[in-house]
Amino acid sequence: MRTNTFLLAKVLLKGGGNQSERRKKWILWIVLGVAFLPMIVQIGFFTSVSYEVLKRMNIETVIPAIVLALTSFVVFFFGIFYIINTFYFTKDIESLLPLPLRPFEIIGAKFIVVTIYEYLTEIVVLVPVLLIYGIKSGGGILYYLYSAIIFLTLPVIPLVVSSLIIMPIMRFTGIIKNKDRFRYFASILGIGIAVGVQFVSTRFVDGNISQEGLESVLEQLESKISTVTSFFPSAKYAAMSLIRSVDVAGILNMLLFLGLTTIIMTVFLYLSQKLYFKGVMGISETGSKRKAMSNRELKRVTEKRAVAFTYFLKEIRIILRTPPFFINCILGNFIWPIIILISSLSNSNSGMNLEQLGSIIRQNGDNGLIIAIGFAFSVFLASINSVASTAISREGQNLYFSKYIPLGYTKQILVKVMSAVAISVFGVGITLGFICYLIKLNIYTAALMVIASLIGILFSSFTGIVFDLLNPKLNWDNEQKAVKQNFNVLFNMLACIIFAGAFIAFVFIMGLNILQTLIATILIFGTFNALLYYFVSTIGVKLFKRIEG
Amino acid sequence: MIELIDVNKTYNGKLKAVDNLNLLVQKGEIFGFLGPNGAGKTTTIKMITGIIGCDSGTIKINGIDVNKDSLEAKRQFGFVPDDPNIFLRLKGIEYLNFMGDIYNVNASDRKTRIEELSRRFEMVNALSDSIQSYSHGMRQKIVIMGVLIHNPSVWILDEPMTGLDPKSSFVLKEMMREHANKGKTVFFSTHVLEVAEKLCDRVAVINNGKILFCGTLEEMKIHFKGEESLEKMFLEMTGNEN
Repeated sequence: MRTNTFLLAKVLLKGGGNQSERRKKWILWIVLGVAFLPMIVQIGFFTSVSYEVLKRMNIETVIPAIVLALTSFVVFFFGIFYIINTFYFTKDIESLLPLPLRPFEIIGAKFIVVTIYEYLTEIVVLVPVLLIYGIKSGGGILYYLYSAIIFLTLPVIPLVVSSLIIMPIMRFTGIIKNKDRFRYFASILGIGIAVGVQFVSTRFVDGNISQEGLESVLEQLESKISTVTSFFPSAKYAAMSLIRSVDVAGILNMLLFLGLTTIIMTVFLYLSQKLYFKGVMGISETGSKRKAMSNRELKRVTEKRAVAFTYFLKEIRIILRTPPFFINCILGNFIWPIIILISSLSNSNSGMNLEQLGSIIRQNGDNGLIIAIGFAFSVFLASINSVASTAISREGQNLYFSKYIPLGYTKQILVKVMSAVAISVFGVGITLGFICYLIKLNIYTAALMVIASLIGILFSSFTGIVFDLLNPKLNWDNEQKAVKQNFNVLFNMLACIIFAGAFIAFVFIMGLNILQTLIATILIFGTFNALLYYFVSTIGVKLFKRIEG
Repeated sequence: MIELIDVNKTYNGKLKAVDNLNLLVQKGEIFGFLGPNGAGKTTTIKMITGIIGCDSGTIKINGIDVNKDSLEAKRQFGFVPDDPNIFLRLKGIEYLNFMGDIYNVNASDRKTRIEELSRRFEMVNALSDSIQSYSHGMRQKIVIMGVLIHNPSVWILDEPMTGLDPKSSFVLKEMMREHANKGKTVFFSTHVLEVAEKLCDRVAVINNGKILFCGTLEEMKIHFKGEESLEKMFLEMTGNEN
């Protein structure tokens, strides 16, 4: 019985994939690790500074209390999304339901999976703090032993809380029955939160925060701790066990913490028996109306359109309506303007802001670098939205459709390029327009930049589709794999960065003015585009023909 | 009319999927393509429809060479694949209209055909929903409707009855017969021997990439000297090969 649970957890964690895919997964983990390293270091550094200040106020022991309560809260928050996804929205659920497993075995296994995900959260949020606190306070072996136990068991209670919120909702209401709608909502919310955290943290970790400032912040924090810890009382016991790790109170608190965790887990498993199966059955991907169209409606929607346009429309519709495609190809376009806006708002008193940059550009007058940078930025942005570099991959197992319809391969490939161009024009337009406005660029330069930018977008879209034609990723079972775990996106980004960087260097070395830079853009990248067009419509078509998905 | 002359296909240089295949499907007939799993049915259909190329040989549809004038050849037929899970994010009506545009069907014909097909397949109420919300059988039906919207002279169907309810299956069979009676061609693969027995004018049995038999059921019975059922003959034929 218990072995069933662990067996299932192991299978669920492994997922599908062959050896090369597993190797790619490792690369992904390394990249993630590198990405989070600065944040971990920053948190450690902040802990170290706070410890000194609090020590002087004689309240340094609030650190474990704060961090455990905070971690519980973060785990709880992420837990809501993990649980909806892992418990309800995975494809495996349809193959698990008919197996002779008891509900609590499935839930137990899925719970273990989610807990392991949360360890990653803990590595970022909890580990650096506990480590620094241990070093600073001279904790013994018991301190680190307790820390390890807490690390492993802390996520349980917050996750139970998030499950207990989600499960009745899934059982008794139809709010989140629609998978697609939920994923849109969750991704937009997620980005909102990421941006919020970015905003707050840039204010907080300003580098030159004053001593009094920090003290007042910490004092405020202390008053808020009791609210947070009362929400997760278990965190208080855990914290006490760490603080008193040298004496008997430490072990007592540890036992209390573990006891509470066990009881809550048992109650949860019991309750879940009643809630899980009924909630998970009948989950559908989308809603439907089942209503006949009126004659007028039917006439309106059956208008005849040009073949290229209808194919273009199909491409755009599928990108917009498939959540993973939408998130990667469309939503990404909005992140950059938001990040720029935030950094220009929050860094107003430190470093250089965009207005200063604008005045520098204006003083420099006729320097072509601004066009070169705008061009490079367009090339780069158009490559990260991944529309072109996944254009073939996104078809997946349905690529055969392109082969039997009476529409030439050249036309199909070019329409795919055009849909990438359209989305990039939209994304680059928003971002670049926004920057031009912030730095108060004059109309003349802005107009030239639009031309350079269009050439750049076309270039990036062509290189993107070339990469995808060479080695499309067609064997995927969920759409996310087509866009997220696709190396063509990375290759195209690298190629674009190299070309765009080389062009900036070229303009800088030659000291070109604005008009000369534009002419250079047209001559160099116009030629590249013509060559790429030729390549795509000759060799590209042959490559496309050879793909036998 | 579909014509295959000395067609060969090898996968990865080793597995011979289709071995020197010759086949002639006449106008005005329903032609059943039978064979056990992995016999080469789908490979053959993929080569006819241009999804994969053949290593050697000639394939013609209504006299047009698939490899030489592929676009014109593709305009001749409508193809129903065995997996209807395609364009799930589009609404039924958007898919039909997309197919109408791809095959250059004018607006009034398109509307008339959509109305007629959705009535016959009982899909009137589902057209404005996304295909993702359809059951397997409904997905199968919308794909069939998408193919029929341009009224192709040659129908090529890969396992078309799978997942259809009895009524829709009946309607499809009826439509296949009507189509053949108009002097046009229907070519379909199937595992279901009863369907082949009742519906087909001629059948071909393929196994290990080779045609074992091609002709009418009467001819097959004569070939096997007796009143045996198709199932028995089929098992005998494909079993001997293994």
